[in-house]
Amino acid sequence: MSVIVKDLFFSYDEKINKKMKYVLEDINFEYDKKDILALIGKTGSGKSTLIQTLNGLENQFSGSVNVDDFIIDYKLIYKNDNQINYRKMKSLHKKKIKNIIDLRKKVGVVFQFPEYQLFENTVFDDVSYGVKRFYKDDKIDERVKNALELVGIDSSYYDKSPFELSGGEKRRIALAGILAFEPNYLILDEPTVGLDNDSKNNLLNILTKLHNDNNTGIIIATHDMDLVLNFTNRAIVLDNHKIIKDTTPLELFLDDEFIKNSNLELPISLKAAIYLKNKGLNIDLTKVKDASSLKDEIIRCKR
Amino acid sequence: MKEIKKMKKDSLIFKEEYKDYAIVIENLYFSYDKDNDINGISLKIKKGEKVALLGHNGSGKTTLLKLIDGILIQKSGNIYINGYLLTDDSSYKVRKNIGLVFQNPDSQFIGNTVKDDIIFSLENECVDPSKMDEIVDSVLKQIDMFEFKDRDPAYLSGGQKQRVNLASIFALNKDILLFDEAKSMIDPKARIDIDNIISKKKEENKGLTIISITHDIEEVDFYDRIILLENGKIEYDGDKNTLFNDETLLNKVHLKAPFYYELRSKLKDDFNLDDVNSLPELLDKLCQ
Repeated sequence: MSVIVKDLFFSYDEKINKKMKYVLEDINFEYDKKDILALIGKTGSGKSTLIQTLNGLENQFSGSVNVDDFIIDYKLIYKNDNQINYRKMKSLHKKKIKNIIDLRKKVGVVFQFPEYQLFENTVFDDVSYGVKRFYKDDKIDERVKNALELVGIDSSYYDKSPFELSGGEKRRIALAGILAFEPNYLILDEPTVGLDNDSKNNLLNILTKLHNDNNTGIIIATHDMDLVLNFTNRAIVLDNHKIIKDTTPLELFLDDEFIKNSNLELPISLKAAIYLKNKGLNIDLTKVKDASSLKDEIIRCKR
Repeated sequence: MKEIKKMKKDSLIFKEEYKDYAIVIENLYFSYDKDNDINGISLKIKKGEKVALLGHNGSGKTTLLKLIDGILIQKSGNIYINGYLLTDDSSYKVRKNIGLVFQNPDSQFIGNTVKDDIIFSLENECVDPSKMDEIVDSVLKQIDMFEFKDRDPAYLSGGQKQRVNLASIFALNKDILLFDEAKSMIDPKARIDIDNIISKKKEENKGLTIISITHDIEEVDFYDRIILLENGKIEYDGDKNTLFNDETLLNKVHLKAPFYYELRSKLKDDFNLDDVNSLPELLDKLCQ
């Protein structure tokens, strides 16, 4: 069970023709749930669009997206001797994809500032809203309760207005709204932006638990390189609408040449460690994650 | 007509003793509901200061900025902008000097294209229409968004939207800039570019005052003064060194110190770091 993206192209242009500008070009990767995957890239590199194609919110112009057994494949139709058939593409894009709701149940997307989408009068109603549209059974309440429990919101909050809560709590409630339909994959766009340190750690603990205990695949789009280094174990770098790197975070950050030529900023702990190493201290860069681990390395080198 | 104008002018209350201050707040209270969200805040910010506003989610940071911008009206207390009292009547005039950039860029878009959006803010300030194109082009080039001039803002990425919002503010010559996590979705390299634009603006206008809410603790180096809010009150107001060396206070407010202070405090028992004042100095000292 995995996500497989093959030869994916995407454009926001309304006119379908050969001159159209692509936001995603030739995207190929496979993701299985054992990793926590980071999507990195400067603003406008295509991260958010890629996320939206994975959950069928945007349809690719060509290529295929497979999520477990759900397949959206335009490849056969669009590609004719490796040339994209723009005329056929036009006619097809007017059609709706069948059963897209099955895909949306599998892939939960938490957008940037999800708390801005809260609107119901109570926390419980807000979390139920989405799941009611996806499931028509009598287990809605149970799903909502489970989801709220997963994000650490207890029953005393159920009848509160979501607008009375703090930013961190609101974000967890928005997350619960997604978790309520029990997605196999959770994709989060800049999940830690705007959160204070405690709320951030709290959110990361929830994600770790989901990944380890519920076997939920986690994909995070972020600019926070500390988060990438400390929380994820695979990083895909998008630049100019293409994937230019797919590796582990540590390997990514230690690739001097690549970092120099890219728009990426190193996590500050690694930056400091590399400076010390270049000045002659025998720091083991693979051990450096934060101030504490760097301190241990410095003490070891100085002994 | 003349009478009305006169009345409006009279409604401006100016306090001579506050003339050197961009913002003076006296005993401010505000509540959305029952509890006080701003619970007795007093502070003075001199013209030209760069202030970082820190605090938990829900501590009142955004509310305070909205009060300063006159979007919200306080329950009690006074706010003076450049010496002028901010009231219901005067807010239109007084807040002309203020540029506020919200956290969520979507809450600020009006135009159908990036260009229209910036022109909208110029129109609000009655800028000469023949000069608008020139201003839009120059500010978009400055912020590296020129190629998106005719795009629909709705199709931009989060970081690009934030850049357009910043461009709208940079296009106007405001004396006071209020940023509510205005750079949070912009990649680190581009953030540095924006800091450089702000620094340049500051060189042109020494009196430019900046108050910025941020959760990116490494960013505080850019600011001279730190104001920390907790439950609608000021918990700390002063320089960074005192705050980030005070572990008891940091623990109390659950604030993580920037990397430099964290590393320094972890190493201070093993090395003599008395003359160390920055991360580069600390690293050089460790290499000796």
